[in-house]
Amino acid sequence: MSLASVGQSVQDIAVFTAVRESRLVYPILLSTHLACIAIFGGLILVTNLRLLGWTLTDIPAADMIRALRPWKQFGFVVMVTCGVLLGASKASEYLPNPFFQLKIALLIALALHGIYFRRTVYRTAVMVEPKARAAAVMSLILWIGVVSMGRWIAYYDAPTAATNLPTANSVRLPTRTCATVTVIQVAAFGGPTKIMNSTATPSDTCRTTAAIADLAARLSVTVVC
Amino acid sequence: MYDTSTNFLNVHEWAYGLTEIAHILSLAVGVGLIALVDLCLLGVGVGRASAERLWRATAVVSLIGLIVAVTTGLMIFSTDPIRYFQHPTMRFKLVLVLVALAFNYTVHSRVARGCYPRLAVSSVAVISLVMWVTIVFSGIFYAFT
Repeated sequence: MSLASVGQSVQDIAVFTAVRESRLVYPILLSTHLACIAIFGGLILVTNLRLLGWTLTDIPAADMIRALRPWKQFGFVVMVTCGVLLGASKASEYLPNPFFQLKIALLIALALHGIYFRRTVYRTAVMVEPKARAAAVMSLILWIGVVSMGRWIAYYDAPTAATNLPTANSVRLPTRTCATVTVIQVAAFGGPTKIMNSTATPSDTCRTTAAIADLAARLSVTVVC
Repeated sequence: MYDTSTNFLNVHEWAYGLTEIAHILSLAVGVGLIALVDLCLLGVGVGRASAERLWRATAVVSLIGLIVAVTTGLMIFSTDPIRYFQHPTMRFKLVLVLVALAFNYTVHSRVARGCYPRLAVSSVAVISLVMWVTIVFSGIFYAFT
């Protein structure tokens, strides 16, 4: 069973199909995902700058981490909820996408980094200075990687997929180069295609309202729990 | 006559994507640090730090983030200026960016550094957050409308 076929069965689930085919829900989720990066990314950044000792040194780093934690957790839940809905709705494209795989690998690395530095940096009153710096540097590198790979997902054309159709943006990059990603798998690259082709058709409009209501309910349940 | 096919971002395969990544990352730096001050104005403090202290501590990095975001944004704009300029969502975004930048360095910075009534302070923080989030939304909706 290939990753693409696993993805196909995921994206065939009703709610993910509704997201994919919707006119409004998909861009709303994508915008929310990005707005979370913009707003809560600042909280991560300021924490890391403090851990590095570059700013706000009169505030104990432990105090800052404790004060910002609930907000970061809230932002993370919203960001991941949107991300899962977006990813699952196009799972057959995303699962075999090397940049998507890399993004997931980096997110796992972030989780491991959180666990590794939990006692010495993130959940302690007495911080070990060199460990704090190491944690901050790793966090910055990993988050920059996650955001970069997230954007680059859109620039991968599966070797045989029908995503190579000419689009408004395909004129931008007439060249078609082959490059190798050895990190996870060897894959052929294409020139960027349009960021996301909305699959909405007029008949989807009536479904949109229902899908928004459905998603709003699911999102609020996820956030509250 | 400007020919978009000679634009660096249109010619080099990785340039466009990398510029977009720089745009998103610098947006997170600029807007994220402004949002940090907004959250403080709304009562979500960072330890004992005042909004003024946060504003001063983050002003330089935030400004660098905004400068890079605007520069990369203009670079992306230059790849197909007519299409971007004629698009109503993109026009809305561009105007809102100018308004938000002006707001940030006049009203917002003054409120963050001064002593004002609670209602005024909260309103300014909410307006700031709403404007920046709307800018992110209009950037995405441009691609879908």
